Amino acid sequence: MDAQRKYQFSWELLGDLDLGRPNLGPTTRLEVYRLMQFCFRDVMEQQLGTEKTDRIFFDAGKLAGEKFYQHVLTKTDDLNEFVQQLQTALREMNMGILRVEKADAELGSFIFTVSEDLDCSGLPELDYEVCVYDEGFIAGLMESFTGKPFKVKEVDCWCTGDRTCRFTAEVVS
Amino acid sequence: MDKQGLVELRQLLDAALTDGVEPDVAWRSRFKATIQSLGSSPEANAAQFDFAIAALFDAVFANAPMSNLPDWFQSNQKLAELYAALLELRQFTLALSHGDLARALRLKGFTAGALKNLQASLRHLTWQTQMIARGDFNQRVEFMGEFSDAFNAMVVRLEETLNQLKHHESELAERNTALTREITERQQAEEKLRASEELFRSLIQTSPDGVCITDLTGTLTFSSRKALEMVGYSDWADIRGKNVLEFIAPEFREQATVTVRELLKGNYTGVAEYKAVKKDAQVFWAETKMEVLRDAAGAPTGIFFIIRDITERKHAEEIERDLRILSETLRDTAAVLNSTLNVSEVLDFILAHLHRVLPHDAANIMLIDDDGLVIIPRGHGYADPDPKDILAQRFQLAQIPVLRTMVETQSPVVIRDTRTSAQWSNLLPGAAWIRSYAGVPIAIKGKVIGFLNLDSGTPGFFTIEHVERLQAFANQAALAIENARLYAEVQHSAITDSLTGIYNRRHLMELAARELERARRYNRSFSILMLDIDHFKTINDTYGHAAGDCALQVVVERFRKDLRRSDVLGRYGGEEFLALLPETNTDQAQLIAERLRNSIALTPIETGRGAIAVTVSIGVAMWEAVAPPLLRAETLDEFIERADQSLYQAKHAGRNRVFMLNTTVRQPVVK
Repeated sequence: MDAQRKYQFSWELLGDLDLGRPNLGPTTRLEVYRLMQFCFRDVMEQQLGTEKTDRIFFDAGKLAGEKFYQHVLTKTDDLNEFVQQLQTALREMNMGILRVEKADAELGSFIFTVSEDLDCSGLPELDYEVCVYDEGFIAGLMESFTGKPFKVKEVDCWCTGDRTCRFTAEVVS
Repeated sequence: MDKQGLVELRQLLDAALTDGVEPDVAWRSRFKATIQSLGSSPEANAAQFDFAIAALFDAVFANAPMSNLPDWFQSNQKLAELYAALLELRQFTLALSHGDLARALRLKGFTAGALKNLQASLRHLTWQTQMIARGDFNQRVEFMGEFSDAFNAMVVRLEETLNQLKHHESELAERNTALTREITERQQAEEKLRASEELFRSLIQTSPDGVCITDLTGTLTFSSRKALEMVGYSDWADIRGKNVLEFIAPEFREQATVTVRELLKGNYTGVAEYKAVKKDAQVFWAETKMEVLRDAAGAPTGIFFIIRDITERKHAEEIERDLRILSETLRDTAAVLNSTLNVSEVLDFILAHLHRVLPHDAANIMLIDDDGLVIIPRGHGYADPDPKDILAQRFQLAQIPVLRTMVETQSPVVIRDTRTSAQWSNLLPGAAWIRSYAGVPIAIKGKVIGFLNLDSGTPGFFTIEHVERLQAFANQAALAIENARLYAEVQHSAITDSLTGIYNRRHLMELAARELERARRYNRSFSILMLDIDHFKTINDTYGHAAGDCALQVVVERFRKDLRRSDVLGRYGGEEFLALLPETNTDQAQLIAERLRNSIALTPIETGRGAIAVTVSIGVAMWEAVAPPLLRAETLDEFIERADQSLYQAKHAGRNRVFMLNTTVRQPVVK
């Protein structure tokens, strides 16, 4: 890791919103978030291609998940407590409604659903899943919690006709 | 293909399937028109339209959808796709209604999305209930309206209930721990108590002493095996509930009751001795230590007894006491016997001290006299008839088998029952009450001189011990009797004439002086006779000294016969005799003198040399208070001299006569 990279992430980059936005507050409309994201996708895809764009968004999501675990959640070894912390945090930050459909900690196999998520809830139907960023986000969270590498894939998405985004997470053996 | 037509068609179908709009005439009409716009004949389109409606209707509402759909139906992509989607939705919802959350729904769109959302929610709920079942009561359902409220309330209540249960469980656990600890402690205490009781029981049951416990009323609540054995029982059940006083001899019950009373007051410690009674009424001596049993508050709850059979010890003590008494008695007896030479005193002392060591109802001492007769000089206990009747008895030894046996064997005899023994003979007056007898011979140097006899009214009364003690007495008695006899003989020899057996001169003079003094003191008459055998020297010379001695003995014998019991005869000289006649005046004296003279003169004396005619001359003298002092002999010598002078006169007058000097005139003493 380069110590002097220009855009190297740190949590401080999120800034002091009380200071910065004393009038407007820390929230905005979801469309603003999506506007930025999908424009990013568009431009990246034009310049880098679809696969690389997906890769970049996955990695970004993973980095965000790791930092989110470090700075928002309280470290725990208990799965249920981890899930509840995450559920609460995502709900309170209006990021989505996290639910668990399957959790086999021994095998390292999980199925999560995120309803009303940031990326795709309410989007028109497409033929593909769009929550690549969320895949990475979940991977970052699971790897931070378990210390093991995880493979996360969105199997159902609003854009594919579901009304909740379903992610499988498997530990990489 | 008219896209607008397809859109309209789709809208119509959505209205029927999703919105629940009934395919009424207007709807059918529009549907038909749309089909038609798609490029088919109105009739065919109508028929197809109707069929399609029916098929779609069945797919939604009928229990079984249509099968074998016509080619035109299946070749219509949208229609077929719609029909397939309806069928899949049908299957998915059916599975979902049966709880199958694993079935995938490969449809997109609003309806499928909603159903899949429902499926996802149910899957999440399933996971949440699993977490709750594992104890995670932080699970909450959100964004599911009324269900969320009910579910979350249920979880909260479950958690509260679980917490209460845990609290109760914790309390129970604490209580259980405390109980377990208490139980453990109690078990340990019980074990200790059991061990202690076991030890106590072992000690009690193996103790050579009996142990029993009663309540405060004296009712037995426990008895060791030894205690049971002591009173002749084998089963505790046989004496449970009995009062301890039942096992104490009646004469000791009062004492026992008082002892216990004092014990409870705290005034008594120590050991009590009493007689105990067995089941078969046998009695034994018991020594008891007692302790009061008390409860935790100190109140008495019962009495604890340790009982020891001391019968043997008591018996030994009795024996020792008896032996000591015997020893003391024998010692005392010996001391007394050694201090007296009087046979009567010896006999009295022996009989008097027999009772100290020998129980009996009556006792007597028999002696064998010189004639071989058995006499009874002493006896006691023979109250009926007059005891003197017993003492007056004389028997031939041969008459009494038991005495004969003792003489022959020089061994004691015990008769257990006089009624069945051949040795016994009821020769004593009033002796029928005697049922048992013990007798020992009194022997000196192998010669039986008498018997010491004990009688009892109880059969089998006398034991070997009794006989042994009696023999000890008899041995002392034998020695004492022999000593007394020897002394009497010596004494007799000292005062008697060996030839005639009458008093010798020395003792005669003592007796005469005594009688004279008595007559003088009490102013009584007192006469003496001086007797002399006439021509005794001639008899000796003629017939020999043996005949002369025989004559002397016969003369003395005849004198004795004719003299009174109160008279005293003694040998004054060789052939001279002096008779003292107390309380006898002159006339009486002369009469007696004449009788004596005749007893000799009238009958010759038979000797070894034949019959010899013998005469005696007798001088009489009397002392009486009324005699004038001048005529009264002042001294014995003078008195005897007077008798001698009378004798001289008798000799001078021709012998074989009685002469008395004139007492009215004091005659001069002729020497």
